[in-house]
Amino acid sequence: MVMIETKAERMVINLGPHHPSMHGVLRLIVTLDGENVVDCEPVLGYLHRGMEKIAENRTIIQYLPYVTRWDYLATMFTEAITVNAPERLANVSVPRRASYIRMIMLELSRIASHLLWLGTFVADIGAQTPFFYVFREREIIYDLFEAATGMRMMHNYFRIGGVAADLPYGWVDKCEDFCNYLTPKIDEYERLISNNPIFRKRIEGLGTIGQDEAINWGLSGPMLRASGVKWDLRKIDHYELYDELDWEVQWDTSGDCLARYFVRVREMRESAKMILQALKALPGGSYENLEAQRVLAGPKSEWNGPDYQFISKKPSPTFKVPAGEHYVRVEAPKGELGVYLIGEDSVFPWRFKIRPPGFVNLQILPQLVRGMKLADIMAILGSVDIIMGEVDR
Amino acid sequence: MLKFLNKVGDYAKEAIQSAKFIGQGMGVTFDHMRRRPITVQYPYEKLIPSERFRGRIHFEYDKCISCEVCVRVCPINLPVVDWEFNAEIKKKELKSYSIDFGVCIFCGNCVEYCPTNALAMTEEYDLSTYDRHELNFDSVALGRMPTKVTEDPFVTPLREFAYLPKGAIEPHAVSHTERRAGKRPEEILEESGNIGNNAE
Repeated sequence: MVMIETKAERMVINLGPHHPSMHGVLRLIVTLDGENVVDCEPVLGYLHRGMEKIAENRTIIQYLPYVTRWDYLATMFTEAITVNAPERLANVSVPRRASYIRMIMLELSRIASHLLWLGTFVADIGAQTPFFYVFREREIIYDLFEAATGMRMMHNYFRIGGVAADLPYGWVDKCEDFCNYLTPKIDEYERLISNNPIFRKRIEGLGTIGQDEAINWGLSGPMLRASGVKWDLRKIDHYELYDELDWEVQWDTSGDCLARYFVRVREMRESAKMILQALKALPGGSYENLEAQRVLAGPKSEWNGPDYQFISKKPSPTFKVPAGEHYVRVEAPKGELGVYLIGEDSVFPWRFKIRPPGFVNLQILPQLVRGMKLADIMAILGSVDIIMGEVDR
Repeated sequence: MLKFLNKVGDYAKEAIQSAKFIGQGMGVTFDHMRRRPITVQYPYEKLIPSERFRGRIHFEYDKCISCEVCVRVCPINLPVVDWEFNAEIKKKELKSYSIDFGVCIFCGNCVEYCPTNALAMTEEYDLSTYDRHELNFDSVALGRMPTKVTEDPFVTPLREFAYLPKGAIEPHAVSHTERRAGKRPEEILEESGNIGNNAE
């Protein structure tokens, strides 16, 4: 075919920080040759609030309300890591019941995060309908959170040595209801999205990351797993009591946007499965059962034992972060969320370095969009799943 | 010619596949015609805040011992506690207490750590004012009780998901007085056949 050779001036445009299709306040300086992306440079820092510096003059108790503002869509994970880091440094044990409650909360939070990702990702491509559907399900998760923690997003629920409060009456029943309700809803999304020819044609083979590449860029979470690396910190670090549940790491091999979509959708199903298992295995059962057993067996029963407590010991407001340093990480829905904590036996940590998954995953974006079309930027960025709150901190 | 026919065949197959999957998707969309909206028609309908809901803080003046724990656990040391040491009774006397709800983030640390339970969370969440200084509550304003959604005759109260009966997903279909999920402890004991055993 004969093409008229056109030589257009290169155009440099700003996508964001305030752009209708941009996620948060990310700014992309895009160099375009017509429709083709020649180069893309992300500019960060519009949501920088100095979270690491704030941590240096706050006790852990004081700092906990801040952390839900890092990744405000997977709030439980930020709390988990803030609590896990000093916990491990000070060798604080967590009761089994508390650990199970934590796992249930974390997996619910993972579902909430993936649900919202699904909505925005599909909306980035042009399908608005699923966006409204996912909010319906996410709302239920937040209702469950509100009943247990008192707040829908800014929970302030995790404490050093357990969680702030036991699960409320009837919560276990309702959480079970939710898990049984969610799986058919995910089937519904899949019927709507997965095989849709427009969706498939649009993102199949888009933004492909090879296995080596993914590892070299330091990617984590679904970004890494979609590229054929079976790496899940829940299996690798054996934190909380994930080993006691029967579940599989969800992964895919093709490494494109479609693979990332499948990994996340399957992870939601897996999480629902894990929550159902955890609810069954919850030491002491639901709160009402635990209370009944305690009444029945009297004050010195096994039901008052350490395993059935929601917290081992209420953390003192002057809890000291012991001298020492270490790196602790959890598998957040976006990837590896870690904290490098240096304590010097004072109430304040000396250094509180946060390793957010979004920040590291975002690095690969310029390479992914180079040579693509302008319209693909949003599809690829959507599949990376970034939250500016944790990228900029 | 055969190549052309193959092409036509492939194209037709693809078109049929596409039609099938789009039809499947549309099936999901049109299925919503028989579902009721789940939205809460605020302000005609309101959700009942959960029991642990962290709304505006209630303060009981007489219970406060001016220990300032609330200040120390607050992320920004927000509560203003003004006290004076009374040498006669050898106790701190509280002169005034205030919290600025324009700055408060309702994390609940002060309530959790208050040793005398002078602080409590209420279910009040609509705190908008025309002047931000009105949000700086003194001990009198902090002592006021919130209004209840269930007692407002103009409002249909709706329960949140965790407070619905077992199996119910949607609050519109059930009355807000219907019993929520979760057995009572005595029912659990009765089921396990252990009732009254410890009374002997």
